[in-house]
Parts: sequence; structure tokens; C-alpha cells
Amino acid sequence: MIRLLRYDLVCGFAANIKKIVMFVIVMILYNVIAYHEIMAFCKGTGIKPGMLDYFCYVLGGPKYIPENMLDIYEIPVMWLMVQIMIAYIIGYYAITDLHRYGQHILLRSESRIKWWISKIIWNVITVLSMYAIVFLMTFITGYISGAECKGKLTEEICVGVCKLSSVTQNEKLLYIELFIMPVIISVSISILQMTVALITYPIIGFVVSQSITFLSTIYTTKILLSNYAMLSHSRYTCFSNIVYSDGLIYGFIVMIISIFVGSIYFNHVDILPKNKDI
Amino acid sequence: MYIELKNISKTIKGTKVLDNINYVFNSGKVYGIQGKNGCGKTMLMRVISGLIRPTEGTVNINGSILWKDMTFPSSIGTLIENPAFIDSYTGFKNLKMLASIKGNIGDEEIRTALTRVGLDSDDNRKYRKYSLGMKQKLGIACAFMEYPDIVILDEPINAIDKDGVILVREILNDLKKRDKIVIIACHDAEEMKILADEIIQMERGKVL
Repeated sequence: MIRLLRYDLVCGFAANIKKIVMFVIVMILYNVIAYHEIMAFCKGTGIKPGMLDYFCYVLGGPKYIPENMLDIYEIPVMWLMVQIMIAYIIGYYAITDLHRYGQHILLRSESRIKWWISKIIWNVITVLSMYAIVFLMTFITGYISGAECKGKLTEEICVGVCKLSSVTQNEKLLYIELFIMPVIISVSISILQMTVALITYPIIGFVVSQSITFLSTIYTTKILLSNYAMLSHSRYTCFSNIVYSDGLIYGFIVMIISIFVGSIYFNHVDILPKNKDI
Repeated sequence: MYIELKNISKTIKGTKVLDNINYVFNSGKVYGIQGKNGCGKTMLMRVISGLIRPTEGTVNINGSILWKDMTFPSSIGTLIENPAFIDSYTGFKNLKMLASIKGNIGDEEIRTALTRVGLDSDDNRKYRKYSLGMKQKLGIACAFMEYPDIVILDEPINAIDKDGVILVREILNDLKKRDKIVIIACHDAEEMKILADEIIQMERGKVL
């Protein structure tokens, strides 16, 4: 199992190196925008941004829009871009590998379940690595801008720049909503995406995951999983019913069902090229 | 060592691609499967490899039933359809990565396998720079380098030059001497007569 995982980490990284570089470029761009917007807002006001304000800008999610005001919706391009890039990195490796080099690996591993579990672990590690890049780059941006590590959000910046409706100063909540929920929800959506890709096609897995993410930016409803990844859609910052504890349960259920369905399916499926003429 | 195919049938999307196949493969022999395109050669190889599940029938490998007692044959090397490797790795590095999964051979055995198919184990060219023939040779080396009990080669001499074909013959003879079961498919009827001890003729999913 360890050898399989080592193979997936090495080959998954090799297969995705260009996409990871693109992801880093997107993150640099996102942080440059965050820096300029926050600095421009604070200029001449005497407001000093804190480190968490930068994290709120990058990870906090798009503006909450009540259902009767959907006409004011603006596409959160950069926030969506991060999600799209993660889905793009996850999207193709497992299935492409299965129909190429991975077939040698599968036969040598002598177990379909081990192969699937190794891909799941690769998926989780990849998403965690992408978020490590997000955290690191946002921290660097905050550090360069001289942001204070004050452990709370600056209300003016979060409402004025990050588009939060209001601000919570409950530290425990803040850390959970800003640092833990985006990662957990991303992991569960990525596993769902990989399972859908396995059963159908990678492009369908990509469309499913990104539909959930995109619709979540418009509709603040419990059913759309990505809402739990956004501090801006949380009950603690707007008039919604999105609570992180529900998101944790929902995310884990999606994760477990996806892993289970994927393993049952993969244990019985014929391994043939998808476009194979019979 | 034996492989017994009992009443093997496979239907995909309403088409019967394998139709009631019964056959016994014994160790120490090279079996050649012959037939027109789409007659079911590759499908049969995939069934024996455990990559596809027969709709009916059983594959019995030395007393263990595939899909019941095991997911894949415990000792098998395959080259089915086009060889696929990691583009950015050299041939040696590709094989080393694969060998590390089971961990039963070292660098020396990998180098020997590469030399035996006519590839230079110190060649620093990446797989993407390989010619078709070199890719095919690497695929063959990958299938036999660990000397598995079952070796399946689909069109092994495709794109290989005359010298390469002689090397393939030598490898198959060696596998036979080592008491392995070798199953090959080949379009070239004359070459098949040289390579195989027993020829299995297939047509429309049936063994004739």
C-alpha cells in the first residue's frame, strides 16, 4: 500500500506539474489583488489590516446575496478560479492513469481496493498541498504588507473589502470557518468528483464538482456543499442557516459515500478504454 | 501451473465478444492466439488478466478462481494493446518504478531485461523520445522482467525490426524453459508458427 501511494504521489505530481505551476500563478495574482484592494481601502483611514483580513479576503468566499436580491450577483472570479484549479488538478490523473501506466501497477498490486484507496489518499494529499500553497502565499502577502497578527478580523476591511455582511470575533469559529472548513469541503468535493469521473468520464466529474461550487456562490442553501466552505455565507456573518457543524457532517457523509460507491464500482468494473469499439 | 478457462462468455453492450470458451493452458508452453481483428483475442487476454469479468464461466488458475479467490492472477506480466509508460521517465526509471511495487527484483534484473529486448539500460532518453519499436520493446521487458508465472503479450512484434524479432523469440524460449505460461497474439501467421507451440484459432468470440 505504501509503495502504491508512493507511486501515486510521484506520478500524480509529475502528471500535474504544469497545472500546479498555473495554480501558483493564480494564487500570486489573487494575493496581489488582495494586497492592492486592502491597502487602497486602508489608505488615509488609519486602519491597520491584520493577517486574518488577508485570509478572509482569499478564503472567506463571495458576498452573501439574499434570495430576493439575486440580480446584484457578481461572479467571484478569483475565488472560483482557485476551486476550478483544484478540480482541474484532481480531475484527470486517476482515470488517465488507470488506462495507461496504472494498469501495470494495478496488476502488480493484485488488489482493486488498494488501488482505489491509494488514489483517494493521493486526492486528499493533493488538496491539502494546494491549500498549503494558499495558506503560505496568503501569509507571505500579509507579512510583506506589514499586517499585524492580532487574532481577529478588522470589521471595516471585512465588510468593506471582503464583502462580509457582518463580522464574528469568536476566535474558535473564525479559525474553523476560515482554515478548516474550506479544506474539508474541498476534500469531500474532490473525492466526489473523482468517483463521478471513475463511473462516467473525468469531464462529467469536473462539471458536477464545479456546478456545486458555482451554484453555492449564488444560492446560500444547506444542500449546496460549498456554502460550508465560505465564511461569508456562514450564519455567524449573514442571515443564513449555514452552520459549520452541519457542513462537517455533510462533508464527511459525501466523502464516505463517494469512497464506498467508488470501491464497490471499481471492484466490479471491466477495465477497458472508455471509447473502446467492441 | 495451469489456467483453465471454463465456459467463458463475455457480453458487452449486447454484443457477445467471447462465446463459451473452454481451454486449458499449461506451463512450459507458448500459446498463440490467432484471428481477424475483433475476433476476441484481446478480450480473452483481458479476461485471463482479471481486467474484465466474464459474464459467464470461470478462470481457474492453479485451483484458485479469478474474481472469487483473487482479484488478479498473483504472478502475471502483460503487454495488452499499446504500451503505456511515464513520458518524462527513461525506460530504466519506468521499469524501476513498476518493479518497486512488488519489490522482488533489483536494478541488475531490470538492466538485464532491457538488454535482452535490445534496449540500452543507460540510455538517458525520456520515454517520449522513444520510437514505436523502442516503446514496444520496453513493453515486452516490463511484462517479463520479474519472470511471472503467466506472461501475456498482445502483438509483441508490432513495430519491431528483424533483430528485435529474434530477441523476442529468444525471450519466449527462455520463458518456456523456465516453465512459464506464455500467451501471445500475433497477426503474422508465419511468425506465429515459429513463436508458438500451440495455435488457438479464434473467430467471432469463439475458439475454433
